[in-house]
Amino acid sequence: MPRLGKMERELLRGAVSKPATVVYPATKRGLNIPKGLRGRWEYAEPAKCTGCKICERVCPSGAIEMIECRPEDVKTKTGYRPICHFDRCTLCNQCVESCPRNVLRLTGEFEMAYLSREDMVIY
Amino acid sequence: MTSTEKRVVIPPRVSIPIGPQHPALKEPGMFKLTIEGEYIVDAEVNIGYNHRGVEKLAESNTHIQNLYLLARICGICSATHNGNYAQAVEFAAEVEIPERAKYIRTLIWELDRIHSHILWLGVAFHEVGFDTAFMYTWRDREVVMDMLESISGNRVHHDMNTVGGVRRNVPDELVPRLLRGLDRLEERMKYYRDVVIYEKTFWDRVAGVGILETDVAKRTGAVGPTARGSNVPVDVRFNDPTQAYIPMMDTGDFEMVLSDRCDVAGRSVVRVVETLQAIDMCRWLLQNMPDGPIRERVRPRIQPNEVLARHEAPRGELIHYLVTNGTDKPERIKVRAPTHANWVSMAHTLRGNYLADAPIILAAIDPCYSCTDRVVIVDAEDDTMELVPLDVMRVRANKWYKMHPRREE
Ligand code: SF4
Ligand code: SF4
Repeated sequence: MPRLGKMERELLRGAVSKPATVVYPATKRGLNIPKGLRGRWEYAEPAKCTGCKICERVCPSGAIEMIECRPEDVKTKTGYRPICHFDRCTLCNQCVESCPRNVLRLTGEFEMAYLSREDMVIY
Repeated sequence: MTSTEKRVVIPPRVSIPIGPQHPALKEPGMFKLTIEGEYIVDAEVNIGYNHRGVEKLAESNTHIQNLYLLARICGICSATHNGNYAQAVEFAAEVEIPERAKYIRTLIWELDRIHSHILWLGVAFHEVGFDTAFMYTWRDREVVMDMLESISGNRVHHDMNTVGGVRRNVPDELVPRLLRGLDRLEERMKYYRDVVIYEKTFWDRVAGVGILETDVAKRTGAVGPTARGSNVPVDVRFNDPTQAYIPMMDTGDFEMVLSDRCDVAGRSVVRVVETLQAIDMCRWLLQNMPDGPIRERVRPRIQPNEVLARHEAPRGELIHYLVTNGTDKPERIKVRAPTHANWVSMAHTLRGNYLADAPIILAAIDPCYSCTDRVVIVDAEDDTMELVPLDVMRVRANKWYKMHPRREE
């Protein structure tokens, strides 16, 4: 059925339907964030961590660094704990999967803009 | 000169470089077009602006880390690189993965194809100046992006595969939602198929443009929709199926989409119809997905082996050639991405067309510059092509720099 302007009805409908985009920073309604989103890295359960350094070894982008436990940290068995240089993290979830004690997590947090690299180190 | 005499004007030959940075192309690639008036008489394709050393880097990573590295070769078909590498390592380790994992892997591949083809369709509309349809297609593409995100947790880099299976399950409560999404996509895609075929704004710009004859397509080794649009039956899913494509093809419900038009319109129709077919495939996969485990434990050290894994990426046949050496790292990994195979026919399709059609002809192979990091030198005069290996380039470069010293010593 060749006719001029195959899209004309669609365009008319588009003129009266509500916008497909979300006015994002003003509202988060309609963003459809799914449950299993791989978002911001989190050292979720420090008490369980043994300091085994597996997470550091598996990370494909070298984002995890093992530092000596600071006074305010929960002391691990080896005396080391992971921190994440989040600017390098690719959100692959491999550290979470490889950790034998289920210490790490990627949360559903997706607002990950920072003003400096120092802010991006997650303790 | 009398007025009855015919004046013959020979337009001068002008050489126009398009790229590496050019508003019509969003990625770095250089096309040197020699034009006579409005006609392209010669074309030279220069690529290699995006060399990132992924293959070399992969040699110092473990197989698990490489899954994520290779997924990031390309942002559009990340699932194909990721899944094909997992498949390659499994072939090398000679392990069989659980049935359910195969189905989920294939499902992600097909959803990836849907999103990639809709993306291409939008870009094609944009390149011919039909931006309205571009906006509408990309709006509807969000449906499949949301589906991928709810399965894998990320819109772009799904990273679903691991060596020995997949990392996440498709929960049963998600299946009805996915089926609903597929219904909506199907309805929309049928509409866009009609737009492609019946909307003159688009059709008149692509019909008869960028002819790639069947024998040329065969000779230059075109792959994917570029080849199928020229009636060359190459599709790894049908010719050499792996994973869940094997039971899917055994049903006999699916047929390779081909077009004998040989022009950009043919390639467009192949892609649009293929999207509809991919939607059917996803539906079939969801309805026939067996229960069971989704991953098998594979030891990190992979026995010494040499394998070639093939997969039909949205743009064509993707090849991963992997040599393992008994450690947890690869000895060598070679990636032949589909766009790289399609460059060779590019110069041919450009010749003889109008300059204004160059963007859509370039876009018709759905180029993915990140996937192409080698240099093809096309000699327009005698139609020869030369794939230049790195060491030859180095020798040539040294010679050139010797003759053209950059600074006086
Ligand atoms: S987070 Fe997990 S993998 Fe990392 S050091 Fe602690 S226990 Fe080991
Ligand atoms: S999510 Fe991936 S990239 Fe990020 S810290 Fe974990 S392993 Fe490293």
